[in-house]
Amino acid sequence: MRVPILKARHHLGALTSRGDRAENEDRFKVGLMNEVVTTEGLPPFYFAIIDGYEASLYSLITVMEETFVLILLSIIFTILSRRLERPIQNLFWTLGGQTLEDISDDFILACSTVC
Amino acid sequence: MSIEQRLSLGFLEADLSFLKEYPDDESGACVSVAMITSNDDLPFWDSRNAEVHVAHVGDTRVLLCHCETGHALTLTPMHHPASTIEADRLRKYARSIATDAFGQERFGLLANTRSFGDSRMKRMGVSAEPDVSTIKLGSGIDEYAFIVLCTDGITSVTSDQEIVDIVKGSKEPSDAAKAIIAFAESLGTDDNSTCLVVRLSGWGTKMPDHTKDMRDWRVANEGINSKTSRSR
Repeated sequence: MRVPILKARHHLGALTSRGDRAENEDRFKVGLMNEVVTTEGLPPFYFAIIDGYEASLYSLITVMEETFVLILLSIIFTILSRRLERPIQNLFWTLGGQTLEDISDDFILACSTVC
Repeated sequence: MSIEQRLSLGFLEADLSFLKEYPDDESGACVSVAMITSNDDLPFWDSRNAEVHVAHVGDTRVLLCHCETGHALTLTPMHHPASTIEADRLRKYARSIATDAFGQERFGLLANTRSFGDSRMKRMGVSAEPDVSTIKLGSGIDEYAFIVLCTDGITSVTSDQEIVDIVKGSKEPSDAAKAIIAFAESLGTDDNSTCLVVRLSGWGTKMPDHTKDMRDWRVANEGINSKTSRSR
């Protein structure tokens, strides 16, 4: 049987309130990293809260979604590397001489190939 | 590369792609992420051999409740100019930190020293590099009852221990989330408040409520419905 995690009252409580503000700029996101289901073991859960400010709602949502896509990608990659025991340690975390931008393109590419 | 490093890189990467895509957008956001990896193939509410990884930027908060003592364990440092570490860091970029009329230190117009977005403040040393920590979830002294994640709408009016004690008195995590927000609202918070309560293996352990009298007193005397409240 599958129960959506946000409806599992016994395991998770999640609530957001606008308070006296015009708009609610808080968000939360809960999930299971399904992408690693193919490897052995239980995929990890993640829980996140976001408190936006001075925000047009549109851009806030963009920040949020990009954040999680990237965090998820990076974490998936870690878990895969741990499970598969692949020696990928030194592939990306080599900031010397490179900017973060240079690395990130390789990084995302590598994530998608491994997944 | 460890999970901690990847979380840091994920945060920085997300921030960078937002700043590049929306260079004129001045909005910002504080984020806390807690991730639970279990080593015994049991889900987070049962596992006694797991780790929780927390990555955090800004003024949101992540709390753990320690079963043996019933104390709140705060996993997220304050990213505020009043924090000595953060103030030291910012001094390298800025000439001065202003103090406002209430004695609160403000860095420019911002109360956070780290955040997502916030393109105006990035040149002043505000960054999205997260504080990352890992806690082992086990049994005995390593057993924890639950995790609470909440935004500053709640933590601006309550203490960490009060939040944890409210959850202890609740039957289910969903009731706990309601009770926390109700408590914060009764104390007059006007900001958006969001709260996640995550059950862990120690849920239901009998623990002392350290702040009950304090909370009752505050609701009676500082609350928005109290007769003696002068502010509202």
